[in-house]
Amino acid sequence: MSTGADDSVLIRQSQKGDRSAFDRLVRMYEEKAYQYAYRLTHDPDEAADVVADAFVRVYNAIGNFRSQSAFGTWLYRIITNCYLDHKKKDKSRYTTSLDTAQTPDGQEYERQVVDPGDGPDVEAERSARESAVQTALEQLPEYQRAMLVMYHVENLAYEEIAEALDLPIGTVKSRLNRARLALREALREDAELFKIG
Amino acid sequence: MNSNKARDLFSEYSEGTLNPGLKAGFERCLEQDPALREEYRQYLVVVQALEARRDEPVEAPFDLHDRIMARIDKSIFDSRRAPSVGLFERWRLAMFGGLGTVAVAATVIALVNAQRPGVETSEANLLSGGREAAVSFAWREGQLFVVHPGESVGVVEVLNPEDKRVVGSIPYTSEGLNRALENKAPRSVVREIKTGKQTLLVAIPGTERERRETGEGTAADVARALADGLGVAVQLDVKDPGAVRTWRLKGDDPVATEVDGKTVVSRLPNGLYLLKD
Repeated sequence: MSTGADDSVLIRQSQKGDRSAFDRLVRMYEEKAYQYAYRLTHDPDEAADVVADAFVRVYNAIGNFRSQSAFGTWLYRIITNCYLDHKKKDKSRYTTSLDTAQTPDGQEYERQVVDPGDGPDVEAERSARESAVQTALEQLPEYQRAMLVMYHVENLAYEEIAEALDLPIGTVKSRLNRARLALREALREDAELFKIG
Repeated sequence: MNSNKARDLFSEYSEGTLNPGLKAGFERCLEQDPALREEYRQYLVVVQALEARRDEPVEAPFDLHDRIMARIDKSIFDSRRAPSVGLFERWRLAMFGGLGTVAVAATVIALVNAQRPGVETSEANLLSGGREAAVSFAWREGQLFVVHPGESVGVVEVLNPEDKRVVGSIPYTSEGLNRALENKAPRSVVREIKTGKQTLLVAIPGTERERRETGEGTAADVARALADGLGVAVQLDVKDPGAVRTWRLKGDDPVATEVDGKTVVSRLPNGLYLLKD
């Protein structure tokens, strides 16, 4: 998550109760925070909710932030926890992605992809692959999903993930490996798209 | 090196971070074990598919900042309103927690619904909480500011007028409020800003300008044309918002805009423009 030299100034001012400094700190990180939350949830409303909750926690805890880790890494940790809490609280919540539609009995089925026309359509295949990856990610436990997104999509280093999740680096590596294997299994249904099998 | 150990090294090998000894051992393993080789290939395919998501554009909602700050305000508001409870109250809350929640919500709703009659929203000045302090609005530096001096509590809601969906909720506390509503979308949006029964209907320009010299549409369409073309926030105060009007922009001055052949736009002291019948 992007950090600037001036975020430490804003953090110090926020710790002293300067609301406008905190407001600027939020502005500095909110888009990146939303991007991460969206990649976890794939639901715009839920992502905004997760981010808003995360910043409430940041606001309440900023006094205890000691800059031992980067603010961005701390924020990743808080967003991940908020996301996990949301999922725990709301296991029964049904979300409908843009790529899916609901049958009358409430089940989700894949929306039919319209034939894009003559010949192979690279864009359609890419889109189908993205959709399959998202569906596969959603089948994984939330914790694994968060790790995969942090490492492979958000491009965080092992050390940053270890800090964000408060885990030893070795554990991060082995859990990431397990998560990748789980993702590969989940993608078997779409073997043709990924040439897995 | 056995296959299980080699599997654990997939990521480090693909990232080139294995030491030379392990790398040689891993490559030997791959050479000798076609199944492992296939697994490694699949690993790379999965990683590639995941990493392709890095390029997937993610656009934050235009009101994200506002939603975050509103949630923070609400958390402060809730924590200050939470009474300190004794043992009896704890028991009572445990028994009637649900009812208590409804009662608190009802109090908040009652506060925001209480209003003094005869206050014109066209002044962009909304009363709330049944007290003297008022919510006011100002257009500064491309942002619509919602301002409250403090001394009382209440809630300002931001709605999408098309479906009445609440897109933001801004409680204000005795600390006061000075919140910018910023539209980060390229084009303008029309929002209802409510406290109690008073409503400010306003078109807020987006980040890009698109000038349509003339056109036909509802009052909201006219306001959006002004917002998109001239980058100004336009408050609507019209009797029949759905009626079709014809507009014509005149230079860069919103006040000169003609709607059905008349100049009906004025500039308010708070920086907003008012479109009135």
